[in-house]
Formats: sequence, structure tokens, C-alpha cells
Amino acid sequence: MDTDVVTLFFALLATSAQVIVVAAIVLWLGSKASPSLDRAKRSVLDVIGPQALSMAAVVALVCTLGSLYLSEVAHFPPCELCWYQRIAMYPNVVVLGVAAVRKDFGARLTGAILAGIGACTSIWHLLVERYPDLGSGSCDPTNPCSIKWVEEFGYLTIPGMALSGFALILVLLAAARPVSLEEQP
Amino acid sequence: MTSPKNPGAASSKNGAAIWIGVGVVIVVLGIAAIFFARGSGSDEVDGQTGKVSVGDTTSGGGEGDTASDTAGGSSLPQYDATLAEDPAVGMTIPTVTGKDFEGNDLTISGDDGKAKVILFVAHWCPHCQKEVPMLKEHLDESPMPDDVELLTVSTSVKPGADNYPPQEWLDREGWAAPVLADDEDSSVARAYGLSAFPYFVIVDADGKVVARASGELTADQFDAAVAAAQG
Repeated sequence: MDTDVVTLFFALLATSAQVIVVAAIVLWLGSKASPSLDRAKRSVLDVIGPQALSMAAVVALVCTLGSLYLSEVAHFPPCELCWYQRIAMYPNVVVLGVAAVRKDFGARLTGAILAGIGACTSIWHLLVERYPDLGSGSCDPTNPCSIKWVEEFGYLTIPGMALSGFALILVLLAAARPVSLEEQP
Repeated sequence: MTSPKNPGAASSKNGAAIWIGVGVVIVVLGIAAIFFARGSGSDEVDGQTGKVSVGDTTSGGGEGDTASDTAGGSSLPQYDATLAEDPAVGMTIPTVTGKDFEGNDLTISGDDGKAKVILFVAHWCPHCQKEVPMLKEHLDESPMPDDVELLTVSTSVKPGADNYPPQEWLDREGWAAPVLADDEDSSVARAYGLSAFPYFVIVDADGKVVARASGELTADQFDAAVAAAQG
């Protein structure tokens, strides 16, 4: 399949993730001030909460497969910072996948720490892309972190997509709970 | 708030609905990607890289040898900015022959009697993207002296990367200096010991390396490089 189609698909997924993350943050902040938003938040958690751990595992899997596609099929070699993000994302497929199957909600913390480290690395990578002088005063000819292999919608690069994935995993892990609030005794 | 009569069934029903919804969204996004993906932006544009020959003027290595054939004797050692003394200083530059983006022959040689500053750029390198317009503006105000030539080598071309193709980029910037299109193996860059972008090789009128530098130069540093080439 054409690389442009696949990268646009990843960008659309990342944009959807960003919309969900922003909506979740707005809902969470709004629930502090508005009783109606608080009720809305509880309703969303009731529906999403029991599935959130599995969803986080799926997000990690999609991000992992996407990253492998970009390096192994599209031949965009991962730079040093890309590798750090991979180190944070790939294990989450196993950690969250096993946790989802075993309904082990205690694994949320491990997943969140990995996703948090990955998100911080993505933010730094985005800064290096935007402000290359943060990295160094010159470009490594082999594989600099400042190179943009993909840029969709004028702003979304590979670390931006990774950050979207990490952020969505964090939101889903925050929402994850064993049973819906309505079903709790 | 009332509890459902069968909590497990309600949760299961909700879960199924969520996963179906997620699946539908993914399929819709996939279809949207197929329909809205712009034409392949990663197709190679002809002429952005070219066949080059690297030879050694001092040993009579001659043109026509490939970089891999002549790597060693004629090539400059890789530039290491941390060294106090650059071992390439005093060495004769390797003669390289190739073509510019229009397909015209272009040779960079140390035996033409002209001092020169050779600038190596990569289209995807953000430091090069800053350096080229800065130098363009500087050269508009204070052109190169007649006895020093400014030459450019476009190298490390990556068709899938940002700011491709290099020809369009340099045209857009109004870059007037001759540009040699390096080959896909970056043979010219390797022969000149490039280790980072942007990369400068300052050469005197005898074809000997006076200095090398990597990273962005300021206008004053560039002027100093030109003065060093003049001797």
C-alpha cells in the first residue's frame, strides 16, 4: 500500500486521539465546576471504564505496528529519540495486553509510567524538530533527530503521532476501572 | 440512579457497542486516507542525485573512477571538530566531476588555480535550511571576491524527507552558486570527509585545504573563511 495513504491514516488516527484526549481533559476539568459535566463524566466512565484497559492495549499495539511500518516498510530509519519512544511503547503492548486479558487493573501504574516517559520523550523530540539548535548546531548526516520524515496537516510529525498515542494511553488508563460506577455496590 | 437487573449483561452490551464503534471509526478513517492521500510525495524526482566521479589530481587518479574505487588516497579524512588540528589541512582536495541539477557538467578541482569555499548541504537539514538563506542575504550585500569561488554540493538526498527535492529548495531560496548533485551514495561528501551538515571546506588557490567547518556559520565567520581561502 502507498506510504502516503498509510501515513495519512496514521495521522487521522493520531488526530482522533488528540480530539479524545482534549475532550477528556475538558470533561475532567469541567466536572470540577459543573454538576452536569460531572454527571456526564460519570456516564462516560461507566461506559468506557471497563473497556479502557483493553483499549489502551490496542492503542499501544497500533502504535507499535505503525512504528514498525514506518521503519521496516516505508524505510524511515528511527533516530535516537525515536528509539527511546519505542522502548516506552513496545513493552506496553505486553504489559497492557496481559493486564487486559487477566483484568489486572493494578498494571495501570506500570503502563502509565512507561507512557509518561514516552510522552516526555516525544515532547522533547518535537522541540528538537521545531528548534534544531536544542539538539546541536549541526545535522548528523546519517540520522538526525531533527529530520521530518512525515508532516501531515502542517503540524503532525512522527513524534507528534507518538505523543498522541502516549497521551491516549494515559487517558484510557486514568479511565480504566473494573466495573462501571453504576454496577458498583 | 437505579442498578441494572443484570449488570454483567449491560456491561457486556456496552463493551460490544464500544468496540463496534471503534472499528467503524477506524474503517472510516482508513477509507478517508485512501481517498484524500495526496499524490505520492516520495517519488524520486530525476536529477536530484547524479553520477559523480572522484579522482586524485596529485596522483593522477583521473576522472572516471568511482568514489569507492578511489576511497583512501584521494579522500580527505572525516572531519572531527573536536581535534585541535585538522589533519586535512594542507591536503589537496579530490577532484570530483558530476552534474548540476540542469544536467550540465560541473567539476570541483584543486588544479584550476582558484581559491574556493565548498558548501555541502542536505535539503532535509534544518541547519542548512537556515544557513542557505542567511548566506544568500549576506552575499547579496557583500558578494564573493573575484578570486574566490563559492561552490555547493547537494548531498544525502532523501526523497521521503522534508523539503525534497533539493533543486526546488535552492531555487526557492534564490541560491545562485553552482550546485553539484552528489550521487545516491554521497560519494562526494564521503570523499571530502563530511561528518555533519552544513559543512564547509575552505580551499586555497593551490587546491590545498585551508580549513574545514561544520554547523551553521555566521556571516562574519563565513567572511573569515573566504579570507582564509584568499590566503
